[in-house]
Amino acid sequence: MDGGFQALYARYGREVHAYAARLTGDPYVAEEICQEVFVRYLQHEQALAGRNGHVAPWLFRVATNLGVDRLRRLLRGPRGARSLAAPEALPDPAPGQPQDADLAERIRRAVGALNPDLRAAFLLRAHHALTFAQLAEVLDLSERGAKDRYRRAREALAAALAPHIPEDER
Amino acid sequence: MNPVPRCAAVRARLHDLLDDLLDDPAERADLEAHLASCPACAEARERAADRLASLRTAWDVPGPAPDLPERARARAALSPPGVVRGGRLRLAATHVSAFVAGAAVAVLLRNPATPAPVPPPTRPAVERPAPPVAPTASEAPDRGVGPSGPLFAPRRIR
Repeated sequence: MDGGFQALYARYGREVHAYAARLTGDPYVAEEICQEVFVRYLQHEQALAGRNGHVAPWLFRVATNLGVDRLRRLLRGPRGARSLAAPEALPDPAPGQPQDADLAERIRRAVGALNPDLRAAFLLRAHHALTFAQLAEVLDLSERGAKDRYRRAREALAAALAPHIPEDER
Repeated sequence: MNPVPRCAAVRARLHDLLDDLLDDPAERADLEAHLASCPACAEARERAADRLASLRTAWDVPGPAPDLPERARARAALSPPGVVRGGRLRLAATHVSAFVAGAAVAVLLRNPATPAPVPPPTRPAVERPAPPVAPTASEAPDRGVGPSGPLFAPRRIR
């Protein structure tokens, strides 16, 4: 059982942590969320053992719920979500950075400006390569609903990044 | 057929094609056929695919602390399945305690003149242990991670 957890953590630990970090924009919150995800996995290990390798959507689902919940509470708070991945929280790109680094920074800002639901959908699909069936499971949507949400996220990003991307690559 | 509007229409759907968002197999086949015969659109697809790939790799984040799995194990050992941290059961336990206290007060008020019965030695009424489902604050610290959102439902594990 313990070896099973080690193998599972080796496979998904970094991925779940990276997702939480991108979702919340805060490495400390990401650490907290990632730990909680694996605590809950251990608490439900026997029930999850029957999923025959389909644990990844469950892990991302818990991480999404914790991250989105955290973002929503911050958005309701007095400072809004400025401290977590909002555009104002990110530093300006250093002068002399290559164009790709500049674009990466702009992408981070644009993703940080998405609402939490769209942000999660975009990151899970674009950064973590979930299929739409997996995305639907993680977000508790139909597959069509998952596609719609991802498409809305992508369109919002495209609008935000339009001035910085050649027209034929948008 | 004017090729320019056709190319523009294909390029407008390139990201949907790359993102696997096209539901209609006929439309997908139509786009693929055009891309196979139009070098300019094929090149635009390559650029879009490169941009998508760079988007996936451009955003590096630091990895988790090395001891995270050990900390997770230690925390899970402290609260194995069935032990509820906070939430509805804590609320329910509060209600049960309030009900028991209220019932005791009501009994006393209804029989003010009745001498208090001598409790049987085997049933100490005062030393009732607290319900086991209510963790103390120290057992259930607020670690900043909020309650499960509506999407998290362990009972829905398939």
